[in-house]
Amino acid sequence: MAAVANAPAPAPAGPPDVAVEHLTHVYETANGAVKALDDIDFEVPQGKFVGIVGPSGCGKSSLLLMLAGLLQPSEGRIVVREHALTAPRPADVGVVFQEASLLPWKTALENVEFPLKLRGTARAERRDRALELLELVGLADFRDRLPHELSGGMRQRVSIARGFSQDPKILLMDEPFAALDEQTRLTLGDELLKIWTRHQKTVIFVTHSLTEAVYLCDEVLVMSHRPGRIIDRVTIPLERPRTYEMMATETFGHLRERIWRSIRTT
Amino acid sequence: MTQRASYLAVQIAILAAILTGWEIASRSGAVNAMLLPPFSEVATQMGRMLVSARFLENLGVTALEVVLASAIVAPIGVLIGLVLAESPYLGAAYRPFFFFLTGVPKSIFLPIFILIFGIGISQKVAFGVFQAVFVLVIATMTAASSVAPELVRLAKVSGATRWQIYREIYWPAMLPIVIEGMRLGVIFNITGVIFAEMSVSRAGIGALVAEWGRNFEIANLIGGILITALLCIAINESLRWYELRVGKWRQ
Repeated sequence: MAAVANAPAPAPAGPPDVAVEHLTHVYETANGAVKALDDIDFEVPQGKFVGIVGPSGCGKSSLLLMLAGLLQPSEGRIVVREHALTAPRPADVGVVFQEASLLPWKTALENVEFPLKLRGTARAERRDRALELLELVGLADFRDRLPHELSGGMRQRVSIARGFSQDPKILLMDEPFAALDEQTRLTLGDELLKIWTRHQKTVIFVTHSLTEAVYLCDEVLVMSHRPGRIIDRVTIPLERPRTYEMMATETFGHLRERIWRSIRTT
Repeated sequence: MTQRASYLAVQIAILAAILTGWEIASRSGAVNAMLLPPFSEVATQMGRMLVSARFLENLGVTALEVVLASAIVAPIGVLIGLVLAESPYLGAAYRPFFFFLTGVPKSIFLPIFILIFGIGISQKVAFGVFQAVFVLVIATMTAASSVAPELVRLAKVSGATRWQIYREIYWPAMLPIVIEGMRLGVIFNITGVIFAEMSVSRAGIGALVAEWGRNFEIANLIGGILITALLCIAINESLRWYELRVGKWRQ
């Protein structure tokens, strides 16, 4: 089991897309300072799909906000494509949030177009691009629906399409499927892999589902309970494209178990 | 749709029953016809009023006062509301005054307005503004605090500038609640203007109705009240229609 899990990752082609360097985060509460993240250090090579798992309250979400440029760390820094990150950089980093966060007054299509509209892309061009993405997530027929007329799974699909419409080099996903049922989760995971293969992005995927982490990722970082530290890095050597059958294999089970053990011992 | 039609049928039937009951009560002598003339008589009188120059002139004065007061109060109310909602310091310092004053009946201040502005149009407009501004300020503050922080966050990571965040997130999110505040503001505004006209005034629908009351011109009095009521309902409903239209996304 350990032999499989420790299989070396293929050497990265160029400089890493994301380098997190000795990140520590402390925030003040009424009861004093709380250390949320402690010396987080990792790199994500270009084009890789990296998962972050950990118990609730391990600071995953804070880490993600920092990777998005929305929150400044107390110590350490984040380097995205060779430049230190100090504010949101939409051309480099896109985010898909847990609660789809669609603009409720815009249709599915307009929501996917939104990042393009902000940067002043011509109407016809952004419409074409958004439609193509909506088609890719199977929602072309729902383009004119408002978010409250869509199911939870559909909303999350729109949100993913929007993440891709911005065409960032790196896509951060914060438990995007957490609110969905198991079947929708699996289907959406597969669709995500399909789009990822086609658009070749670097993905950082936060989840609390171990199965999802093993199924989707090239590497899984395991975080400890507060203060969040990285206590294990598990390379997933399963070949791509991933298939449902792989979930039943011994390798898959071992990987899942190893992650589970790491989490449990914290 | 059929359900809606059946509600409408019931509502029309209720209205017809009330008007018929009124007619019968008055004609049979069950109520004093001096105090409540039959509906048919009032309706005839209303028809006459709608073509009478005196009535229309006074109605015009009131309409002008309400429109001027609305034009003044809308930008002022929204601006004050936005500043109080967005500036932590000013908000904390001044918000309580608005909440306190909302609970005080504005009518008690009327004599002060008469002393400052006299008894002409400017006094009615000022009093209308005073009546309406509080509800609009509070609605705007509520609207600003109802903007979901997730959406602002999303706009930021999608590359929105500060101005784009206002235009694309704050404006559409706040609009339905601000319009609702304006609708309530218009109601308070009209209330203030008419109250001021009834107290001391030479013109306006309030002055006219008060005069009819004093002179015991009952058919005119009731007719004037009904026409004013119908106009206010029309204004309120059209603003509500607009409010629902821009707030369709609120389910």
